[in-house]
Amino acid sequence: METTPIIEVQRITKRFKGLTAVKDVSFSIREGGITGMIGPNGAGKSTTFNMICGYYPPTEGKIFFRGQDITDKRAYEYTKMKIARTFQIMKPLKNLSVLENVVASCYFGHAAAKNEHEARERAMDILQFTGLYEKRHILSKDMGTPDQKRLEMARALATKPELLFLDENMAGLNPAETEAAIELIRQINRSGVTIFLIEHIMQAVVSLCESVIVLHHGEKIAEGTPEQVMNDPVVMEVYLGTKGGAAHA
Amino acid sequence: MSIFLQACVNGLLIGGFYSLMGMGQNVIFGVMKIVNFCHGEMLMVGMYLTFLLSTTFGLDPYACVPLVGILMFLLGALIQHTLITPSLGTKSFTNLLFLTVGLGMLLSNGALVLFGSEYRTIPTAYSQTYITLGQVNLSLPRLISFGVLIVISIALFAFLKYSTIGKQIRAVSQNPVGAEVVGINAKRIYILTYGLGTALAGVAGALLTGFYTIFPTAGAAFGFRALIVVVVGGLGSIPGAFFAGIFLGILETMVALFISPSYSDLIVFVTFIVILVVRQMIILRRK
Amino acid sequence: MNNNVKAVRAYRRNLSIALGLILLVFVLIPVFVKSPYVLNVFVLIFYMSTLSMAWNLLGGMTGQNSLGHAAYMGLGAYASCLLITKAGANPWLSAIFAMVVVGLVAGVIFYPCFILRGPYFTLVSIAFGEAMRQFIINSSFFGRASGVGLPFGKDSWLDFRFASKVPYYYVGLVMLLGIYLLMKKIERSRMGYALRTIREDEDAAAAIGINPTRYKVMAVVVSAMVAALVGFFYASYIRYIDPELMTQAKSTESVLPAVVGGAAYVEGPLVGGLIMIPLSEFLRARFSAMLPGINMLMYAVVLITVIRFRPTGILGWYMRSKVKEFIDVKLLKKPPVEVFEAVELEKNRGKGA
Repeated sequence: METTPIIEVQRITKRFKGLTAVKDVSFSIREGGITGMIGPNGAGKSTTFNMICGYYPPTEGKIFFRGQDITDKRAYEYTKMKIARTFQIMKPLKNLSVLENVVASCYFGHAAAKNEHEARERAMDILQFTGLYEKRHILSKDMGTPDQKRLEMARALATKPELLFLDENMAGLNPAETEAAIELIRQINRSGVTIFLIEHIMQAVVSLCESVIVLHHGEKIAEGTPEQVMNDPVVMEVYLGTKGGAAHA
Repeated sequence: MSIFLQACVNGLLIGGFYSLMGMGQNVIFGVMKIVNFCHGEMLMVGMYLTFLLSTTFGLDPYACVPLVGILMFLLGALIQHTLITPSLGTKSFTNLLFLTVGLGMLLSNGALVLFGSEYRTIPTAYSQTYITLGQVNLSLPRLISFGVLIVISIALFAFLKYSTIGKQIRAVSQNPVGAEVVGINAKRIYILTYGLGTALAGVAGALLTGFYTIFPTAGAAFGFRALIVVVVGGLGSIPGAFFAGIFLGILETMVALFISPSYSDLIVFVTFIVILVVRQMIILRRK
Repeated sequence: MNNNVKAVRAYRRNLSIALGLILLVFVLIPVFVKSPYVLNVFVLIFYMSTLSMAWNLLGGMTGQNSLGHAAYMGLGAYASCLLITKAGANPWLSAIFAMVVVGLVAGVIFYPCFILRGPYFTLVSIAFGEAMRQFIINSSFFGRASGVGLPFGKDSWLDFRFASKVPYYYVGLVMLLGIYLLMKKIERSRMGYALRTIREDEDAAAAIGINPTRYKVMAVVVSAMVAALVGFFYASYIRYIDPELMTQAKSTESVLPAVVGGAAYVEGPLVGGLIMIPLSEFLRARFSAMLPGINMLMYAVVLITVIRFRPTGILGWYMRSKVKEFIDVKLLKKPPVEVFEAVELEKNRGKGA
């Protein structure tokens, strides 16, 4: 007997003023695993992601979290349900230090810290875990892209999620930094957090994900293990046709 | 009925000024996403410039209009280049807001220091001339001013729509980064835009002098109304500002006629808040 | 006991001594300064800085720029004056009444304005101020343009009524310190982190579970309540209020100490107020007979200069200056931040064991 998936997306569609960005997409995310979503630019990945995160509601369709309908939940209600997200375009609290960035997150969500002591203590732990401890007193706007991406994750983790959405968390990183980020995501997953990520970097998706969803022109064209997806003729044609070399490398 | 018609016409004539002020404000907001809180003071500066030109050189106030426009453009360009553009870099909306508020204080108190608080007028041979059309009396200076306003508004529409600079201004409004990529110098457009907005306010001031008293805080009422016009007409929308200005002028005179002149300010501000709040609610529902 | 703990204790002691001395100077000023004119300037500093701190909770901490604080202050002044004159209430009770009423009005009016982003809040705050002023000018209950006076009489703490300026000086000082401590407390609390997160990015705030609208409304209510308290103080001090209190220019004046002092800091309005208000009062006394408007002209020049050349205000400059380094390290013997963290860690471990 199958267990209930942590997230179940049922036939969601999003239209912006006549333009259909996402059309009739359904999939589910298994609890405890790492699920990835890939697709070329403009495939509707970010739109799908934003709908699941409550950033905007789908025009049609439903989204369930552990069987509960969360389609119309607002973005700020998600951390209470133990779901956290990062942003593709990083949104650090620019004029606050790295530590304060994470302390702010510790104050909210389902396990909100009761006082400043607790919040600071938890923030320190998370900074150690994400490797930002040494930089805790730097203003977040003064950090480079790799550290800001880490900070995005640190801020999300500070809300103690059981499900973490990562929006292109490795875009713009060099191979060594990507490797480090992959290791961090594995660690997070091993600590019991289910992960759903959208990503451009093939290497990351192949090595991390147990299950991959492929979007193209707003529609789901394939779903399965990385091997299944990459050997899918439709996927090879529309997506890997141009990047085939990289995918097999 | 004739009183009603008269009030309508008067509202239309004064509403033209609100439109012009609101359009200037919206050109600036469209490009830089800042609200210009010294817009009313710029109108006041235009009034004093006209006053100086007409008393020193004996020029007719309407003959001063082009000159005032050019001088105000230069003033606006200078302010943009030396003060606003550098502050845009800090990305602090609080700072930008209070920069324009500070400029407003500087201008109105500067006028107070230079000219004192006396009320001044520019007497002309035709200031008391009225034209009767059916049951409606039209003040000649107001009518001339309105005519000029309409011409300027149409010219502004055409300028933004067809001229190269106008197209560049619209390009920067829609996508500053994209505009920069295709080779538009954003800093130059900022200077042109702020100069243009200031010139529009100054010209409105010059056109007012034919029938309005000149004093250091004369711009405040128009500045307030320009803000109302841009919000009601839609932030950044030039046609929206035009119609909202006319609407506001007519609303004001109607309140003065049917309720009491002393309530017109109160009702204008309350209407503004109500329109804004109701519209927010509708937008929220649609989301 | 280890060295870290000792160093932190020594620093805390030095800091307390320094702050205690400053406070002592302020407490002793009325003992030595007898000029009512000078005392008046101090009272002005106290209540204007408090008003500016109220503004700063919204403007500096939350990033919502209000231009209507004179209206909250005026409404607070009217609410308390009318309760005193029409219902014969005790002034101290009227202060609480004024704060509650103004807080409620601000919350109800601004709730819808916070739903959408952009400059709408600023615009509505201006319109709200003007609408309230026009309403009062047109209402005989509020005394129209001629205002409302409070009765004079024998000195009394119960009626908060004194001929001398000294009691107002001390009450003003207490109000200033109380509000400062409140703001400091808010800054380090959950609400403070929520407000600052909202200031930096509303999407980021929502992503960690902050309801932006709710916290912005909380901020505007607290801010308006403090402004109403200042209004009550002002009315009791001047004993006469009129709608001029609520003009746009007054709202702008209430912002200046914060922006000049450094809007990102809770202390910004204090620093700005201590510098700007004596300067303005001096210019007003010295030149306003000859050149009316000169003090406001100076205000404007200082404001523009600070924004252009010191965009983070006087405190923003001080925080990165050598002067601060000298005061912290040489005079107060402040240990490096790591030492503080080590002490904190140890303390927590002690609790755990």
